[in-house]
Amino acid sequence: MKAKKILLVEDNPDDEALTLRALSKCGVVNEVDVVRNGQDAVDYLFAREKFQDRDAKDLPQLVLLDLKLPMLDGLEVLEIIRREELTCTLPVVIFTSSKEQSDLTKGYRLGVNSFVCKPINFAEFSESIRQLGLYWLLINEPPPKTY
Amino acid sequence: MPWSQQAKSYPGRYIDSNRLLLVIAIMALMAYGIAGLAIWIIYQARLEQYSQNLLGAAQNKVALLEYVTRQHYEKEHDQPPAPGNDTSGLADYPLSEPERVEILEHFAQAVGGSGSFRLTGENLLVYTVGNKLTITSSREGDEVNDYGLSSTEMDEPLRRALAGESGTIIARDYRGKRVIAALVPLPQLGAAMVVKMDMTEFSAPYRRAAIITLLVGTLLIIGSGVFCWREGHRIIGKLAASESRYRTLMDNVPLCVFLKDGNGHYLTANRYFYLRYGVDKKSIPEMSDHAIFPPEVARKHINDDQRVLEEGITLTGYETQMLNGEERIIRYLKCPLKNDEGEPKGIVGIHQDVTQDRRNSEALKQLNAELESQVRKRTAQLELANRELESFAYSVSHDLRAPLRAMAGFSEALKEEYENSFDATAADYIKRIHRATGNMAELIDSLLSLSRSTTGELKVVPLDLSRMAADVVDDLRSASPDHRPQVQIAPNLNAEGDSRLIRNVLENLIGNAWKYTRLSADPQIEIGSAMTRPPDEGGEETAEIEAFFVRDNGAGFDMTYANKLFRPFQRLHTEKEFQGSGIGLATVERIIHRHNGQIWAHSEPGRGATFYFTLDQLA
Repeated sequence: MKAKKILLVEDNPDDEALTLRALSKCGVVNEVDVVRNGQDAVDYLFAREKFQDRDAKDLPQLVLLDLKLPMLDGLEVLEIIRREELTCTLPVVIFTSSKEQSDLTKGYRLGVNSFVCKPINFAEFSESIRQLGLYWLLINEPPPKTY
Repeated sequence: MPWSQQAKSYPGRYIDSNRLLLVIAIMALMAYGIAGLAIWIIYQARLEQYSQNLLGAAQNKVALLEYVTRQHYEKEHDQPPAPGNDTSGLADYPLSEPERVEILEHFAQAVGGSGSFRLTGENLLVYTVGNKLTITSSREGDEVNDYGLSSTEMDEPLRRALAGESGTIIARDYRGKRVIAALVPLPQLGAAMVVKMDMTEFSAPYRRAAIITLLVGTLLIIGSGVFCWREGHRIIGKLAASESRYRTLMDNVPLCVFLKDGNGHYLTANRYFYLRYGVDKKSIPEMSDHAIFPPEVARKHINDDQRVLEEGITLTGYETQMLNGEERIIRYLKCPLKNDEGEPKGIVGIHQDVTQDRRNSEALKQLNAELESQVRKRTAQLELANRELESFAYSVSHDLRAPLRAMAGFSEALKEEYENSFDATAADYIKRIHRATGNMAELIDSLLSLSRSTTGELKVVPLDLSRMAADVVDDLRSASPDHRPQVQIAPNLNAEGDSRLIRNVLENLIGNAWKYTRLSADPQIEIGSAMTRPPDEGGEETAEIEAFFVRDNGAGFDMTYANKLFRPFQRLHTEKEFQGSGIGLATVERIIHRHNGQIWAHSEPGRGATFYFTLDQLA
């Protein structure tokens, strides 16, 4: 069985490069699709607009979601994901620079599976990514398919 | 005229002294009359009785004489009287002239020796012998006188007795004194018996009684007069005081006060009333509302008066009056003035000018509204500023971190992937970039923390500082396992405050202690509370208060620079000695101040430092 995809929602190209590097360094073999704003993330998941060729039923195994995004921000994207029948069980990890109390509260209220703060130190950053990949792709049992 | 003087003369109206005197005189005369009448009645009764007594005494004596005469006659003539005749009279005993004279002379001797009775009592026997009149008195020392037959020389009682009159009379006797005399004539013997006594003696007790009554009565009248006069004086004094109080109150109350009678006419009013409505004090009695107020206001007043009088209620309300061309708002009160039976017989009214109060309260209302809108505006501005600040802090935390992460990440990637081709200098440069990013990340965190410490709401809850400190120490232990200071935390350090911010305080203070004991030989940290004296500000002696403290035996600092301790970005140690952003203590101070607490420190270089703080007075 082909390993499922990871959806990375990240507007900062540097963070994107660092995340991808860290993922590949720690041996995550899953394919990573990258979208650069909130609207694209929603379109991707529901196979709309420029992602209409995608199979909507082929959901990623994990969504790594930044909070500060152009157009729809991360929390709004999360709200849509949790509201829709198709995606309401999708594992979503907020991966952000913010440690704001209000963001944490709102994220968990909206049903995020995990909230991880991006460390500035690259070693720590890589370690975070490695553990995230390990946990969500190998250890964690994904939700059963609802379709 | 001054108001107080008028008040003084006022009670005179209530009391008419002439009438009072007349009443007292009439009552005194009546009392005298009654007493006199009583004495007179007793006097008359006693006089009647006395007359009878005197008459009785005279008759006894005459009866005795008759008896003697009869005895003598029977003895001399040896002839009993003709049977069936009256025994009391002497008609049956015809005596010769010598016999008659002999009997009378004998009897006169007996009368003369019988003495007097009482003080002035006297028995008299009078008879004629030929032309001569013989009078025998029982009074001692008086001799039997022989008078001529001239009736004018005889005194009235004797004369009338000899003339055959019987009974009791009051007349003048031979001494010219008024006497009461009982007359009993003896026509058969040509004699008369008189028993008499001076009127002076008889009436002496009654005269005494009258005099005593007069004296006692006069004393009583004088006494009661004096009492009445003093009591009246006292009442007048009280009335005057009451009147003075009433007037003073009336005229100094800053309200218009007036009294009206049952017909709605003014009786009196106070000074404010006169001044305000331009009414003359003397002309106010009998004035009606029409004379003072415009027609429609007067009509309303009269209607109000009628309601108060008919229903006996108190009316209050507001009315508008024009005064000097200005509209004034008057608050009025009218209540019934009741008589002793509780019926409304007049009206007490009060007018209060509340125009200024109204204006003030309206101005105040407007001012309040303005102030409120100002507050709302300012609050909105403040909220906006706070939101801007928060969004700024958010941007700082997010946007400043991203490039930093890039620098750190890519310098690391560079090192990992091209390490072999780097010489020592290049490797050092990479290391410096790496370290700088770390410092900047810490700086950003500190700045964020500082910004959060002054904004946002305080959520005050009970805190267990001992447990919180232990948590912080655990975090520090796991973060730097190579540094092992000995930590002592006092139990039961309880306080109230915002848990997140106070934890930040402990993190900073204990973190500092941790940091500055790094080079100590036997590093020790102590957290507890103690009674201590905060540093005096402005030379004032401060009292000892209980403060929490965090003490270490680390590097310490020079107290000369203590004032710079809590300023942001101020550091007392070089970056090389101890790392730090210089923001931690500034944040701590702001948090403590937000909790209305105090923070201060004691230290000596090389001998450690103690930071004290209080959280007592929460706003």
